[in-house]
Formats: sequence, C-alpha cells, structure tokens
Amino acid sequence: MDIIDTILTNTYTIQDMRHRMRILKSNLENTLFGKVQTEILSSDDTIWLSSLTLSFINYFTKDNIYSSFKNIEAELKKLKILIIYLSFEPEQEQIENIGKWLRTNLTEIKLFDIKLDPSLLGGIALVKNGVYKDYSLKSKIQEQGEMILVEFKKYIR
Amino acid sequence: MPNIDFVSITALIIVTISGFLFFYLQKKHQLPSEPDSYQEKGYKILQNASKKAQAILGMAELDAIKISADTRFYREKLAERFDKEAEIASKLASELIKLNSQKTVDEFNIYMNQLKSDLEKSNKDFTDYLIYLKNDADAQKNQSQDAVKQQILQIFVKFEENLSQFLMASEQRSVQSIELELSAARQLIETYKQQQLKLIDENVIAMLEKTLSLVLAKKMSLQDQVDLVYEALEKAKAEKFII
Repeated sequence: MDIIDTILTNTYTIQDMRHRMRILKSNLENTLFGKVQTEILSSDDTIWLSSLTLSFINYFTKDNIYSSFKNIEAELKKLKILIIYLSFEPEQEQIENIGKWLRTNLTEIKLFDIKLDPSLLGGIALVKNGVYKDYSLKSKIQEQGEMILVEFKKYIR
Repeated sequence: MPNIDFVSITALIIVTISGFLFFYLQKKHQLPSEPDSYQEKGYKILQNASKKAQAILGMAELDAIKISADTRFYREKLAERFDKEAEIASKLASELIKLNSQKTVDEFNIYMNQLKSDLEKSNKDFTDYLIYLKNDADAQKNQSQDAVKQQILQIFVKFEENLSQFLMASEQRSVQSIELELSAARQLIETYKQQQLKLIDENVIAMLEKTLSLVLAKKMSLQDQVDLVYEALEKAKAEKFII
C-alpha cells in the first residue's frame, strides 16, 4: 500500500501534507495507545480522517507506526516541491484547483508550496530545484519597460 | 671848602700804621729775658713818633689853612674871571649861534627843499614801480589762468577718454561674464533635465508597478487573478520549466 499516495489523494500543498501527517499520527497514537484526544480538529480534518479507509488505518500498528512515519518523512523529502508565489491569498478551493491542474498536466510535481508576494501584481512566480522563474505581470512590465518608456516620452514636451 | 693836603694826611696815616706795626712786631718778637728795656725803647720811639706826627699834623693844618685861604682867594678871582669869560663867551656864542642858525636855517631849507624834491622823485619812482609791478602781476595772473585753464581742459579731455575706454572695457567684461553665466546656467539646466529624465526613466517602471499594485489589488477580481495564474502555469509548461 502506498501510504504517501493515499495521503496525497486530496492533499496538494506541503503545508497540508504536514498538517495531515501530524493529525493522522496523533489520531493513530490515540487509537493505538489509548491516549486522550486533546487537539480540537477542524471539520475539514475530521472529514479527511473519515475519508481514510479502514485498511489504511489498520496498516499502522503499535510496532510500525513510528517507523512508518519515518519512512513517509523520508519519502516526502524525495518529492519535488514546486514553490508558487501568488500575488493574492487563495482560498482552499483555488488551492485545490491549482493542485488538480498540476496533477493533471504535470508528472513530476506532486506537491507545491504557496507563498504570498503582492509585488507580482498578477500571475505567478515559480521556484523549482532552487531556480526562480517569474511569470508575473511585474516581469512583463519590466520586459516591456523600454517600450513603455518610449510611450511615456511621447507625452513629455 | 679848603683843599685838604692829601700828602699830609697820607703821611699821618703812614706814621700811625708804622707805629702799630712796631708795637705788633715788638710784642711778637718780644724776648722773655729783657722785656722792660725794649718796652721803654718802644715807648720812647712811640712818643717820638707821636710827637713827630703831631708836628706833622700841625704843619699839615697850617698848610691846609694856608691852602684853603689861597684857594678861597683864587676861587673868587677865578669866579670873577669865569663870569667875565662866560659873559664874553655867551656873547660870542649868541652871535655865533645867530650866524650859525641863520646859516643852518638856510642850509636846512635848502636841504629840506632838496629832500622834498628827492622824496617826490622817489615817490614818483615808487609809484611807477608799483604800477609796473601791478601790470606785471596782472599779466602773470592772466598767463597763469590761461595755463591752468588749458591744463584743466586737457585733464578733462583725458579723463573723458579714459572713462569711455573704461566703460567700454567694463561693458565687454560684463557681457562676457553674463554670457558665461548664461551658458553655465543653460548647461546646468540641461544637466538637470537629463538627470531628471534619467531618474524618471529609472523610476517610471517602479511608479507604474506601484500604481498597478495599488489599483489592481482593488480592481482585479479573484477569477481574473486565477486566470492569470493558469496562464502563467501554461506558459511555464510550454517553456518546459515544469513538466
């Protein structure tokens, strides 16, 4: 059973991934070791936990829970994370739609990270494997800077 | 007053002095062994001296009386003679004076006339000389005035020339400096304009970005933003930045 694929089914961002990993681990510890649940889960977290199959839950035992999570962490580190800079703060729906688009159109990107950069004006900037590429409105203005200046200078007498 | 015989008096004085001297010397060189003999001698000598002195005095008095009588007599005679002579002399003198005075007066008149004529002549000469001096002084004065006027005119002419030259030079210098200032100011303005344009060029993009960041945040809808995101993702995929 591919634990990561199961978790990644409807998890798109690395923050969500780590969050869900944490609540899953906590939930499994509670279940396996009889600890009292102290953290109050959101409705989304509850729905997600509920969406996990029984076979997935039963995979984790007292003996392998920690080793399994260790492996998951190691696997996660191997994944290529795409960092997306947005000029606005997206809602969860937009995040999921972006994630679905990435999963549909790309093969190597499984997870991405959202960062906020209002100076982009519009569009996005991407960082992959440490390489930054700007696809924002700001970069377009800068690329067209000379032409814009020429247009402005027409109005200077 | 009878004439006193000075010779007799002088002799008397000498005798007296010699007597005193004798007594002084005697006292001074008096030997202690024989004081009485010398003293006696001395007294005798003194006595003799005083007798002689008295004799001389008597004779002197007699002479003096005689002389005084003679003197009186001769004086009276002399006086009479003097009066006579004086009268004669005065007569002569008066006649002489009369003569001399007339002569003197004549001479004086001649002299005065001469003096008067000399004075008039001198006065005339002096007046002529003064007139000459005055004329000469006037001529000198006129000459000096003319010379001074000439010099003043020359100075004024030269002053005008120098002033005009100076004014022209000053005007040229002023114009040059003003032109330099103007060109410097124009250069400064041009430099400033270029600097400002350069600043505008550098900052217009930033201004545009700032403007858009302020405007688009309010004007662009969420859907437009999402569309731009997908457009950018498509472009990245097309460029094979993400695969």
